[in-house]
This record gives sequence, C-alpha cells and structure tokens, in this order.
Amino acid sequence: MLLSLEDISVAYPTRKGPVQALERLDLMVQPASFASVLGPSGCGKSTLVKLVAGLLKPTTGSISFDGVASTGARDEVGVAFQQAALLPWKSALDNVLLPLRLKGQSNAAAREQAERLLDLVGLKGSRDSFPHELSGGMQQRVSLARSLVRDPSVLVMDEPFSALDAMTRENMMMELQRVWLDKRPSVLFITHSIAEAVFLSDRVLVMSGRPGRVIMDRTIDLPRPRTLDTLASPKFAELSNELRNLFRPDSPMHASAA
Amino acid sequence: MSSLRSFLLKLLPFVLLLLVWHGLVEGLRIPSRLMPGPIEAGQRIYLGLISDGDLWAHLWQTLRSTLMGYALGCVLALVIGSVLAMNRVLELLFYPLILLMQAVPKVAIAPLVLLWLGFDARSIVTLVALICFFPIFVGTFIGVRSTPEVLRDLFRTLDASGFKTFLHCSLPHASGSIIAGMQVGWGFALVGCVVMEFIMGIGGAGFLIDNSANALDTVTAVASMVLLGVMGYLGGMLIAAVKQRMIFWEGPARHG
Repeated sequence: MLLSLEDISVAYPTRKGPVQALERLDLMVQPASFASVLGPSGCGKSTLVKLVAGLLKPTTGSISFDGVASTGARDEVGVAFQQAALLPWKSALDNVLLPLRLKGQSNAAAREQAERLLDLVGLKGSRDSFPHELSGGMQQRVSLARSLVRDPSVLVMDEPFSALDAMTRENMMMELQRVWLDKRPSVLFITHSIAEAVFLSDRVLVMSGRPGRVIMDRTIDLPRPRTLDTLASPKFAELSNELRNLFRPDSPMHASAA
Repeated sequence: MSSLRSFLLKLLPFVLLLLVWHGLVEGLRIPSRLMPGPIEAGQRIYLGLISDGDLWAHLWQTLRSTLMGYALGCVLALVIGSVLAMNRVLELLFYPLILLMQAVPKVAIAPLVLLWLGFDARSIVTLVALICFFPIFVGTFIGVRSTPEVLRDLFRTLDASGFKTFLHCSLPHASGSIIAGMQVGWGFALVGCVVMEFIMGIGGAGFLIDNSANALDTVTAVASMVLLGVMGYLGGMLIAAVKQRMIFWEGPARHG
C-alpha cells in the first residue's frame, strides 16, 4: 500500500506556547518498500509515528493510504512501539491475538495464524509464556508478531529496538528483514541507528531538528537479502558515512527554522 | 527457606503473644474479672463454639452483616471509582463530594443512619458500605487512572472503544490496586459493623463484647474480641490469597 504524507504540520500546545513539531513535511513510502527515518532527538519522529498510527491528527496537511485520505486508526496499519507494550496478564499468544480479539475475530484460524507468527519471529516455544517471563528482545518479538497479525499493508515502527542491548539489536535487525521479506508490507521505520537504517531500508529519510522536515532522501541500493557480509561491505560503509556526516554538530541539519 | 520453617515462623508471633499474655496475667496476678488469661479465654471459646455453641449466632450475625455491607461497598466503589477515573468531567464534579463525605467519620454518623433507616439490618449494612467505600474507591480510581499511556495508545491504534479499553486494559491493570483497597476496606467494614452493634445492642459480636463487659463477664468479652480478631484476620488472609492468584505477573514470582 502506498503511504503518503503531504504538507503535514503538527503543532503541540505547551506551557510555553505552541511548539511546532513538524512543519510542511512531505513523505512517501512506496508499496512493499522499507523506508527508515533518521533524525536527532526531538525532531518529531514520534509525532510521525503517531500520525500514521492514527493517534494524532495533523494540524494541516493530509495522510493518505493508496490515495485515500484518512485520519484515525486503520486496520491496514500495524504499529510497533518503542516499548513492547504487552499486556502482562496475557500470554504471548494471547497478546498476539489481541487485535483480532478486540474485533471479535479470534477463532481457531486466528489462533493458528498467531502461532505461525510467533514461529516466524522465533518464539515457537514461548507461546504460553507471560511477558514477565520473557527477555526484552523476546517481548519486542511478540510486539512485532502482534503488529503483523492483521496482515497489515503498512507497518510503522517507532525505534522498536532502542531499549535492547547492542547484540540483541543486531539479531533483531536480521529477524526483521527476514520477516519483512516474507510479508512485504510498506514499512516506516524510525531509528537512531544509522547501521540499522542502512541495513534494513530501500530508502533512508533524514529529518531536521524541530520543526521536523525531510532534508535528505537517500536510496539504498544494496542487494537483498542483506547479510552480515553486507554490513562489512565498502558500499555499506560509504552510505553510512554519508549519513553520519549529516549528524555532525556543524551540519545544516541542526539549524531550525526561526 | 522450607515451607515448614516459614510456617512455623509465621506462627511464632502468635505463640509469643499468648505466652506474654499468660505471663502477665499470672505474674501480676490480674483477676480474671479484669483480664482473663489465654487459658480461660480459650476455655470460654471452646464452650462458646463447641460444647455449648452460644457464641455462634452472634458471630454469624456479624459476619453476615459485614459481608453484605462489604459487598455493597465494593460494588459502589468499583463502579464509581471506574467511572470517575475514565471521565474527567465527572471526576471534577464528584471527587470533591466524595472527599467531603470522607471527612465525616462514618462512626460519628451511625446514630443518624439509625434514625434515617430504622433499627434493623439495613442500617448496619448501609454504615458498613459507607465506611469501607473510600479505600476501595481510591484503589479503583488510582488503579484505572494509572494505566500506562502506551497501553492506552495501543488500544487506540486497534480502534477499541472506551468501554473495551476499560474492560480489557484498564480494569485488569487496576486489579492489584483494587484488591489492596479491598484489603483495607475489609478491616474498616468489620469496625463499622461492630460499632453499629454496640449502638443497637441487639446481637452480633459487638453486642456480645459490650453486653458482657457491662455485666463484668470479662471472659466472654475477651473471648469474643479474640474471635472477632480471628474473623478479621481470616478475611484479610483470604483476600491476600485471591490477590496472589490473580496478580501473578507482579511480586516475588517474577523473573527474567
């Protein structure tokens, strides 16, 4: 599904007056493609996630799915938050089933699908475990499985691996690619990690500081499926460096509009 | 620690208490008209519960009134606490009223309740409900209000109605806090019932204590007091056990 944000502005009221989180932002994610968003803290990345997830309405501008404008939650959008946000009183399987249960669609077929998704994210044996019995990485995998249970055509992920240790992050990066190659939703992936962005994406979008705008749209033409070898390749380093240079203290990105 | 050992340790304070009690009464030669020792009290309890059984009717009356008032208080507190926690306008309107009501000691309005509702079980049940309402209400309110924003966001992205979010998210999240409120409320409920029985003087454990103390039948009074304490303790234990089973995702069982 084609996700497109046009001329989006979002302003928050705060104690000190309105804060412009996003200003005249344009962003498009092609069907079955993986787009990452990199940006400094406070640039409005989470605001972006909330917009696409339907938690927030833009002050101006529009969000469309396959050309049809929309605000509010949609069945076609799967969301993975920074925290796993699992219900602690439900098992991993029941957590994955939650979106379907809330729609009254949890039957035997749904259970099978949830089990398959848990297999897919590598949690075959943890079906009946509770969140407090799972590690952080495992909880994020459950969250990922849950975001896929309605077979979304758009997946938006807000730094889902940022609370994990470095090694688990790398593993999860590989897992996510594997899962994505299986289903191929359009993905909007927010991250702080340049390596993650380059490894996973077809395009990397760089956002400026507040108010957030897209200041670079870099196509990542590395062959798929990408492996650990890809991580070590010269092309990978070249792309990473190009992006890294944008984050230097003296770069134009840190100047925000008056 | 083995469960036998921890069980014995739990028993120890009670055993020590009995020994100290016995020691004081014997050592200071306190007359049993003033304060009977544990052996005498134990004999009276045996008489009252097993061989003669004259205490059962009173205990049962207290238990019944307390349970009915407690159930009523729980239902009211759960409903009002949930509604006020979910709706900010209603909260602004009604929370101050609840605080105002709470400021008046319920025990002080007991005679008024008797006047309004009559000299029967209705008054007892009502006062008990009033007195145990607040802790359960607060537990419910805080529990529902403290539902993590990320979980509420999750339910919004899944297009769940306010009621569904309450039922599947806020209420289970609040259950620990609610049960904690219910534990406190149980103690209050028993107090409310006993006080009403003091005032009304027609039956129940409160009546028993008041009546037998006035008649200088201190043994019966102390025996009744002990039995009331056991009733309160067992009720509290029951609720704690329910809490252990229900709130399995928190507490010492956690790992990982």
